[in-house]
Amino acid sequence: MRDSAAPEPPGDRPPVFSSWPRAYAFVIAYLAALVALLYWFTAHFSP
Amino acid sequence: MRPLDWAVMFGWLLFLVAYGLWRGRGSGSVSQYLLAGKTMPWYAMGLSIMATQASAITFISTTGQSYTDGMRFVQFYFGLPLAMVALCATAVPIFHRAKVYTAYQYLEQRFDAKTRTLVTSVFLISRGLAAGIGLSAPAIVLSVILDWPYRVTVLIMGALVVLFTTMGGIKAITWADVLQMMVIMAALVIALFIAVESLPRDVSFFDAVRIAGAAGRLNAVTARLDWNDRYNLWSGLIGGMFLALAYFGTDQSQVQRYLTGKSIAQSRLSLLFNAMAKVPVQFFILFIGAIVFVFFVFVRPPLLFQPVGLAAVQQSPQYPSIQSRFDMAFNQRLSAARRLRDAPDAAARSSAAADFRQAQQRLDAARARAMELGGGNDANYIFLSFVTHYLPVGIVGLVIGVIFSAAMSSISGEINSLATVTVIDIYARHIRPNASDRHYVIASRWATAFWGIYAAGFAGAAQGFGALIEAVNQVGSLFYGGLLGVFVLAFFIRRAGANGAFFGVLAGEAAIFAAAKFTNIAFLWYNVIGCLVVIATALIVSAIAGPKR
Repeated sequence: MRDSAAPEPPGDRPPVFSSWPRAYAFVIAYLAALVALLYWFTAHFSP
Repeated sequence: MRPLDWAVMFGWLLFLVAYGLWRGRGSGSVSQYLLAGKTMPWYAMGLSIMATQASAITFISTTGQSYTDGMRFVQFYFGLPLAMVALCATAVPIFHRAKVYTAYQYLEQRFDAKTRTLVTSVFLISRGLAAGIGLSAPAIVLSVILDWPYRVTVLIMGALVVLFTTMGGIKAITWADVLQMMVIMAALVIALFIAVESLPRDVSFFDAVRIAGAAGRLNAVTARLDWNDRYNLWSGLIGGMFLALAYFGTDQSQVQRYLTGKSIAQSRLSLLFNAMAKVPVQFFILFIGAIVFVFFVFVRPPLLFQPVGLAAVQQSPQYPSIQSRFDMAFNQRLSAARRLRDAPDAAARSSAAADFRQAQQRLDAARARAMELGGGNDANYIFLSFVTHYLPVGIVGLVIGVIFSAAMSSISGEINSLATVTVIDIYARHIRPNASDRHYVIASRWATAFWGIYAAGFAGAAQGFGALIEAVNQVGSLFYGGLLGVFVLAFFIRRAGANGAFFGVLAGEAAIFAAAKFTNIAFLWYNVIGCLVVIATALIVSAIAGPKR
């Protein structure tokens, strides 16, 4: 990611992760889990 | 609607407008009026961004889509979190550091004035069209449901939007959105709860879910790649990501929201909040549509939900035969649903589910014939019909009021961004470059009023569109690919010069319109096509003319 090279100023850090790239990785992992859950939901209730 | 419903509806609308104006007081400078003085916290921006997207169309059309076609529309949003991450890493810090009011100002810093003006024009055309559809679409439905003249509905919505947006600016819009988003979620939870509670006593929530699944209404994910299928996993992840990149990265109605942030971190958090909340919220809204479908498996629905269309069908000599076929199919479906609920084993379940689907096909065929005679798309009236006929007094007024205000919220955001671009990128850039701050605030208010009146005047021309949300997204997809391409060039491709960007946008738009006119490619892919053509053309032109030009 473009902004990972430069250190974050203290006021610009995310509140729950130590850096923005980690926050982004969390969001992408969350999306993968969500899609997997919805895929299971579809398969489980499909006709 | 009963008197209490009218009181709740108008009470909510007046309270919302008053609250927004109160929070928007003190917007006397251009920075305050257009960017809220860059004071907004992440949660306000995040909820405001969600509220702008959760327009009236979301309630009216998305629930209807789920009722008729299942939940597969949720895949449309799968690419959104990816786009949010990409924008947090690129566009947010770039726009903040460039200290711009509009995304298009940055294009002049990076390229030249003609590229900025071209992209500004593309935005004004596309967003202007969308604002017109955005006002007319819910007005058509609400006027039918409330039995108001269509023009009166447009006039009331338009007048409230113009008053509110002109006086309060973006601060009023944002804080009203925060309040509204919370009430929207509460109203949706109440609607789902009542839909489940209204099922027959011998049908549990899990029975309802199983019946919705057997009817193919819980088809949230389709993994098969089909270029002509609008909604599948791949079109959602790739096409949806490109659309979200364009919408949140290049559309001033969204960029302006996160430019109001106190800091880069606050703006990023607002987008990441949206990334995490959007898919579950959309799933929830679609799920309500699926449960409303099950509700009407047990409670006989009208042949058509659209009262005017139904009245037209009832005048037709074919009506008795269509109604008879519909009633027979309904009874068969009800019987199959009860067998499905009571099935002791997998074989019995499979047999009942097959009977259910056969009956559903007959019922759909009768409805399709009725729609041919009655005209219009019935899907947009399903949820409102359910709300007005089956929700308790008071709650009906709240839900209709929320839908009204959701329409107003989306339109106010759009006309605010249209006014901002008109003043910053056209008026202050080309007509009055050195006027006072106060002059530009007054110009912004006039521009806001102009775009509000324009949207109200445009309303009515979009009645021929099908499902409303698709109409809005399709208009966006005709233009977003070109806008996205030029910002990708600006952010990432140093070799791209001004002429390359300018001709790239023209070529990208030509490619999108050609794809729309001559192919059956689903509209989500237009953004990908447009973006790639812009980049390829810009690289070729820049290689010939040199990167400086």
